[in-house]
Amino acid sequence: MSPEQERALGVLMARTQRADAVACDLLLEELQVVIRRFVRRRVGDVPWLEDAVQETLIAVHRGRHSWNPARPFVPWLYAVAQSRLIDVIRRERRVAAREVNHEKALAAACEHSVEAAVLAGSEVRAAMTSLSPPQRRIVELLKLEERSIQDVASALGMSEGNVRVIAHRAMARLRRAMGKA
Amino acid sequence: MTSQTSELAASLSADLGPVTPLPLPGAQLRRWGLIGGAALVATIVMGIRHDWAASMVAWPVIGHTAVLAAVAGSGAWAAIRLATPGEALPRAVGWPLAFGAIWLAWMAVDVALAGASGTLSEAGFGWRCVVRAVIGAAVPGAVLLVMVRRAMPLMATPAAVALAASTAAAGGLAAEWMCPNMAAMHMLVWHAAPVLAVVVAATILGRALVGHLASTGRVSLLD
Repeated sequence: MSPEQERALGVLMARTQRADAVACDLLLEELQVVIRRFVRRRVGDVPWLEDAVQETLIAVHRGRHSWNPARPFVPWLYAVAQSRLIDVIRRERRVAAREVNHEKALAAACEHSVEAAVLAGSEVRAAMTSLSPPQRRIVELLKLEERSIQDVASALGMSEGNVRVIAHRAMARLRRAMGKA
Repeated sequence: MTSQTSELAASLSADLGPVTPLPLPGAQLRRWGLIGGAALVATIVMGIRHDWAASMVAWPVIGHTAVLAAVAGSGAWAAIRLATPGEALPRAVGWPLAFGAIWLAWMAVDVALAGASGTLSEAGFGWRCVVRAVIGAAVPGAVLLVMVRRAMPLMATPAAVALAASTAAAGGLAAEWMCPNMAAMHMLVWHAAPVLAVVVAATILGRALVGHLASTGRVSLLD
């Protein structure tokens, strides 16, 4: 990033702190590009790249008071981006580990007899009523229609990270409803 | 995905209000020193040890005071900087911890040198020292906590450890100047151990204590 661009971002941030909406629009637009490049340089083209960009934008917006205009803007921005990126990486690792466990559990369940599956099916249907509409929709798409997380995310207009998290919470609620927590 | 990010940016822009930028870390430290220092001195003056005149020229008291003041000051400086993105790396917490280790080692050496007389019974029951430390640490700790939480403590655990070390050292200073018992074992058990306990607790509870960005709330809004 050139020194002129750094200074320009600092000026936009200072105006954003004074609630200048035009400057805020421009700043967020510029930051999307800068943060995307920052994340891509560190972790490559990962599926959750936009999650990291969005998390950083939210953090920048929430914590905009913590930047002092007497200080350079870019080190502040990169510190926020780095922190959000680490959190997103940790979350993705946790979600990935849980997804693997769910897949194993599903495979184990398939080994049961058809009769047991029918009984379990009615139990699952009853438990599904405890889910919120978005949770139910995601479980239906993922588990009943066996669509991929990517498909579900694009069908519902959500990020893949969100779909994973909602699916995880829905499965936890289902287990609780079925007395298997 | 990218259009979603643009939508998010638009919604953030719509939710815009003016904010007052945080003062620079140096200005915050001066403010903490003025308010916290004044409160600590006032607390000490109200319950100062009866031998205070002699203590002012006693090497162990002067030495302990200097080291504890170093822990309190460097801890506050580290906590304020760690709570401001881009100002410090986690290793900034090293200075207060190093000064704190010197103080603890000093106590331990005193106990070892006391030999047979440094038994546990000599420690007595110094709950008053703990109360003095808590009262002495209350204002400096509260002021620093507010400063750290008002900033953006992305590195919550190191910031909490620095905050706790500074606050506990302020409490240690209060105990030092309000308690006339200079027995080595008493100092170790009732002056140093509570300070150490506070720092250990802050290490464990760091994120809960100061971290307000553990979750951005975005996921929970959708779920």
